[in-house]
Parts: sequence; C-alpha cells; structure tokens
Amino acid sequence: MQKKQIGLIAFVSVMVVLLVILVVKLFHDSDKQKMYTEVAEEVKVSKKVKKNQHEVDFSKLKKENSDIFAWIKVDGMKIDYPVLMSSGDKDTDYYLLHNLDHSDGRPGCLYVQKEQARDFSNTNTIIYGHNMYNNGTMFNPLIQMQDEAFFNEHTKFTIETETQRLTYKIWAAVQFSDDHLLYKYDFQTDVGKNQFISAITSVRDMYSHVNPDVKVDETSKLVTLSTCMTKDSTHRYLVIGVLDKTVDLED
Amino acid sequence: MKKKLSIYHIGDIVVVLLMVVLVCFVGYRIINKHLIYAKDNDEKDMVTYQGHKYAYNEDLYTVLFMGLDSRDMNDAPAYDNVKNAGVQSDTLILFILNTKEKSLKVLPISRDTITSIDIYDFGGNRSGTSKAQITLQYAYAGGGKKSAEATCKAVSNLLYGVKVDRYCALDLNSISKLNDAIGGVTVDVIETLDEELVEGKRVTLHGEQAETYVRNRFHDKSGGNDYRMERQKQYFREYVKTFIKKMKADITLPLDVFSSISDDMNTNIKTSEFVKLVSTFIKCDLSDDVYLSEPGENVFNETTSHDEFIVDDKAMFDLVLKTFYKKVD
Repeated sequence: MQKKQIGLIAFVSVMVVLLVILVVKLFHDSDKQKMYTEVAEEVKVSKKVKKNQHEVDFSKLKKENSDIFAWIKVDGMKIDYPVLMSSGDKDTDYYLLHNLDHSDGRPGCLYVQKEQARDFSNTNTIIYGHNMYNNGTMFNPLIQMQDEAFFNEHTKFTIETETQRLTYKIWAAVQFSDDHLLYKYDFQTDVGKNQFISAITSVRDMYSHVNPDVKVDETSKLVTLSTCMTKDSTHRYLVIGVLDKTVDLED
Repeated sequence: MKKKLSIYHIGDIVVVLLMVVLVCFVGYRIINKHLIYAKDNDEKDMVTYQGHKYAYNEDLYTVLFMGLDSRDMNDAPAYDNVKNAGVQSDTLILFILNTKEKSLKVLPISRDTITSIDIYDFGGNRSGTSKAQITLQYAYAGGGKKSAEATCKAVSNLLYGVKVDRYCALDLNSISKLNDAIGGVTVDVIETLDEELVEGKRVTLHGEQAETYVRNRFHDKSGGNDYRMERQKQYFREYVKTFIKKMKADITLPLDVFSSISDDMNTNIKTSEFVKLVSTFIKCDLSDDVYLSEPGENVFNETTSHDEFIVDDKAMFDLVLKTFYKKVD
C-alpha cells in the first residue's frame, strides 16, 4: 500500500519534470528567435544613412559571429537578417541547423554555401533559409509570393556586404524541384545559364510567377533565396533577384 | 475497508491517466510545432490568390479524351518533322466530373494550343521541352501509353498543374463504330461539309458520315479548327442524348459500346471504372453551360503556315482556380 503510493508519487513527479522540460524548451526556442531581433537592433545604424553609407555595423556583427559576411533585407517583408558562410572545418551547411551563437537547432541562419563567392559575383548565389511557418520568421515570408498580387507589389531586395550595397530586382518566385541548382545547372557556361533561365520561365503552376518586365540573360548576376515548402519536401520555393544596382560603401 | 481502498485506487489511476494524456498532448503540440517538415494536410495544395486561400477540389475526377488522326491505334511511326507527322491528337477534351455533386464540366482544348511539350532524343529519351502545338506531343512521344501519358502531362501543365486522372485515346475508326453502336446520331448541320451535310439540314449520321462531321476542317480557313470544335460539341451533346435514351431500353449498352472499340482505344480506364463513370456521367446535366472555353485566340503563323492558339494565361489561371479549387476563407 505504502509502496504503491511511493510508486505513484515517483511516476507523477517524472511526468511533471518532463512537462517542465518541454515548457522550458518551448521558451528556449523562442529565445533563439529573439536573438536575431536583438542583434538586428544592435547592429543597425540608427541615424538615417546616405546612399554610400553602411546600414549595418559589420564590426559589431563580426564580434557576434565572424561568419557573418552580408545582410539581407527584402522590401515590404519581415526579412531583415545577417547572412552567414561557414568557415574553417565547419560543414558547408553548418548554419542550416546552427544559430548565430552556434547553438544547435532551428531557426538556424540564412546562409550561403562556402563554395560560393562572398562578394555575390557568381552567376547565381543561393541563400538558404528555413520556412519557419510556426512563427513567420527567417524565409517564411517568401511563401506569400505565391499570391500573384503580393508578388506584383514586392519588387526588390537589397544585400549589404562589407564593401557594397547590392540592389536586386525580383525576377521570379517559383515552386521548383529540390535539386541542388549548382550541380544541376552549369553556371560556368552560357548553355547552363540559359537552361536555368528557361527552366524558371517555363514553370507553370498555381504558385509560381515570373515578371516578364525584368530582363534576365546569361550576363545577369542572380541571387536565389531558397526555402522549403511545407506541403511537400521534394520542392523548394525560390525567389530569384537579378542585380540591378551596385553602390560602393564608405568605410 | 477493502471497498474504500479500491475507490482510492481508481482515483489514483484516473489522475495518472490524465497526467499521461496531458503530457502526451502538450509534448505532441510542441514537437509538431517545431518540426519544419511536418506535413500539414490543411496546407496541402493550398493556393493563395489576392489574399484568399483556395484548396484543390478533391471531389473532381478528370478524364482526358484524345481523338487521334490515325486509322490504326498501333500505327505510330516516329515523328521526323519531314516525311512523317506521326500520330497526333487532333481532338483534346478534358472531362471534369464532380463525383460528389454529380456535375460535369467539359473543357475542349484546341489542338493548336501553343504550350510546353516534351521533346525526345533519337533513343526516345526525354531531352527537354519545347513550345509547340499540343497536338504534336502524342507524335513526339512515339505512340502508345507513353504518348498518352505525355499528353496528359502537357495538358496538366497547360492547366497550371491540375490532376489528369485518366485518359482515353481513340483512333479514327472508333468514330463510326461508336456512332453506329447506338444506331446513329441526329444533328442539325451547322457547317456545310459535302452534298449531304448541308448547313441547316437535319441529318442522322451513319458510318463514315459521323467521322466527316466531327473531323473535317477547312485548312484554308484560319480558325477552321474552331468551327470543327463547335461541331464536335454539338455531336457530343446529341450523342449523349441518344445514348441515354437507348440505354433505358438496353442496360448493357455501355459495355457493348466499350468493347466495340477495344481495338481502337488506348486507355487506362478499366472496364469496371468505365461502368461507374457512365453511371455518374448520365446523371449530370449536359446543358450548354457545362462547356468551358479555353481562353485565348487563334493566330495564323505565316512562317510555318500553321494555326496557333495563343492562350491568355491570366484568364486561364482564373479559369483553373474557378473550376478546380474551392475558396476556403
């Protein structure tokens, strides 16, 4: 009798502990997300900046995490984040499941694989980010581009590096296969570049839009923002911008 | 004493069970919320248009009908663009059956519709896509099942990815067989085709006449295909009327018709499915407003001397949304 009650108390205690752990984890996860907002507040230059001045303070960013090499901001969307590239022995996709402070798990960081150029001079630079549909962060807002009306209203994004501000015109927002674009298309050759361009323009479904007024050819410098689609894991949602303006920034 | 104990016991068990349920529930919610790949069925196939959400209508069942320009189903020479045009799908009609509401929509697709079709290398492997008349897809794919499936894919792509559940391709010989299997079809001729088939005249079509009526078109007349599609619509309507009338007297008619054309047919519809389809089909209203019209316009291409039907993409998107999706908010 006594024994049974002890057993019961022990069991209930274990349950309570488990519950507490789960709740703590939940708060901890939202903390991870908070970290990004805090960093953004901290590094943003508060005063209004001139065209050739930095909007973010890279020296502060480097202190936060030396792998930060750019900052992306998408007009009219809640996308305002640092962009990272893993260094040293870290895996090229390290930031898929590592946060700004190197802690494990989601939301991870927006990142570019380390095989690509840090100055966005590649024909197609791909920035990956999670579709955090539970709280609308990271690249989740891109999903709204599925609505043609939204797509038409959102026409550009900017990337700031340590030396330049690059403005991109949004050319396409498409549902695409999850093939690795850099392996599937040979962006070193004009043939490969054109294959990619025609693959994007020939996407025809209820989620994809291409702006025919934005001119793209084999000389274009593209940046592809890539995120998951919740409805199936074999597709990615891509928002592709073409370099429109480059401004050199003062130190 | 003993009784009291067992009551305590039950109380304890209930508390423990409640705790377990609570922990499982909360745990499940947290884990689910944090799984990025979690499959959310509500989100599946959801389309956003002007701020509203639309879900694919799962009650729909679509059948693509293809009328081939060949006498023999198995005669499918490779398309080489010079000597041999291969077997093309001259008529394309998508039947959209709402199995719940027992309603039907019919979308005729112009053979000349310019859209992405698959192209193949000499080994018959898919080597890419090209913009061309949709009718050529059947020829390009080399015949049989492969051609039918490639055409379904092209139609699905044209319609922004809607599902094409089944296909049925028929060769030319099937027309007169189908026509005669129900004892002929009476029409008021809408375009003069020969001495017998004169505009305005009421004719009961027999044998080859049926084929003439639904198939002939004037190549020297731009948009000649449009007139033919009108005749096809009319013939189809009259055919169904006659079919239903005859079926009331002879319940085995659908199976007789189906088996009469088995040599002239390339389909993935099973006999049992066909019977079910017919029984749903004949309950549907077949008035004029079941017909959807493919938005776009005919253009005569001077360089190739071929008609081209240029789809109005914006209107097509709206048509697909309206026909295949349901607004959910």
